[in-house]
Amino acid sequence: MEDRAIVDLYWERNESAIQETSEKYGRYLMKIAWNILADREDSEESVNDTYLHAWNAMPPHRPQVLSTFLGRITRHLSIDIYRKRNSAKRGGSEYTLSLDELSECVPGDGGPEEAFEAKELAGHINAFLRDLAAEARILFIRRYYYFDPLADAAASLGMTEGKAKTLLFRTRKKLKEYLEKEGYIL
Amino acid sequence: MKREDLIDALEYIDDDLIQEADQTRNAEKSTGDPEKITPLRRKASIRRWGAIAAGLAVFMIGAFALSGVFRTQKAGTETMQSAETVQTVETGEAQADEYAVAEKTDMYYAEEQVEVNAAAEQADVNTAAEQVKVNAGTEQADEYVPVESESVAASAVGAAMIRVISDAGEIRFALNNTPAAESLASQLPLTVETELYSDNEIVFHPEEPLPVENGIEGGGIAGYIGYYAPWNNVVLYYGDFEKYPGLYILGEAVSGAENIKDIRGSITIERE
Repeated sequence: MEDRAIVDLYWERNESAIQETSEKYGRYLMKIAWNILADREDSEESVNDTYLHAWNAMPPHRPQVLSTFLGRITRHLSIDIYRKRNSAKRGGSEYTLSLDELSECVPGDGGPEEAFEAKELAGHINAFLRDLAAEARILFIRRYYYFDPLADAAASLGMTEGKAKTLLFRTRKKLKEYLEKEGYIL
Repeated sequence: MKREDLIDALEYIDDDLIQEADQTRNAEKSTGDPEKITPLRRKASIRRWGAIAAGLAVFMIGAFALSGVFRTQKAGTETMQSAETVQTVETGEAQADEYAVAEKTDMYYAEEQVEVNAAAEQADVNTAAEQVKVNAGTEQADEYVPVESESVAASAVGAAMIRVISDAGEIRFALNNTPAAESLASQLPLTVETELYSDNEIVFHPEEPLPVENGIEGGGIAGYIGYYAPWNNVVLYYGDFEKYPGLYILGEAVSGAENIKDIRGSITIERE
């Protein structure tokens, strides 16, 4: 079913909207949740909560890109679930690995509690990403937005895992320099 | 700043950036269950076991034929001996031959198994390579399907030609002669902001809503231009789409259709 038709079902308060969403995007959302949680039960919970949030958001919202809209909710919910549970006991997900890698961009962990807005920071990251070559940009988003395994991201871009690792390293370094230039105390 | 802050900030990165990355993940959407074997692997697995089974079958036939040859040779050399002696010797030799054959069999089997495994691995590689080619072909097909000369979209006589100018390149469309298409043509030139919609559309709003009476409702392929009346969206398609109530076909690309998917931001539309 077309995205537009699915969105209309939400607006009509037709419960088959959830069924249609699940059929079209269930596996896609499950993959996002799995990358973060590495646990089937938690991932299913996150995906089911995504449908509930979508149901509550439409109306009034009418997402332009349904997959991105749903994926964003799943990512947010999955990170919440991850943070609530004891990550030390149940680590090992791609989220943990991605987080470790991003430490290079923010070595000042535990610094002064600056009141910065995530959205403002996102604006800078958007600008930074737009200046990157497409290959580096896609790889960065796949790794740190979707938390895709490095091997998968590299393969889909037709590069070796080693090359992807090097490219990510350089991108993180550039991001650190960029954010410092923008006045972020790292 | 904590590293989690970066993760949180990434939640707000722009849709088009996410969608760009998402396009490289599309193949995984349909097989996204991480705990299930993928169709590609399943296919390779079937091929591997098929190759092993075929190898074993060939080997067994060969072993049986070899055994028959030994038996025939023995029969020839033993014709001068008495029936009882022949029977005894033949039984013993045959037994020994069979052991020898069996040993050879094991040896051949091991060698053949190695070859079969190598062949199976090669088959996997070939399968993967073929799959990549198929995927690449499919993606290509999704991106641009050549326009058919007598399609519904632009079948009209004396249809207007329009040109879409964008950073991604120029695209020329032949419009049909429906009132909606004529209305769009009459509003040109236009400079408008485009938006991405779903995973196959670039949309923009015309200045005035288009009339949909006597319009052509339907689905289509990459390269079509349509109008979704309920939202006043003119739609440029870079992937196939289904018929949907309120969606009308305005025409189709005659050149540059492969550029549609890369359109971002502002475009100018002119009449030729």
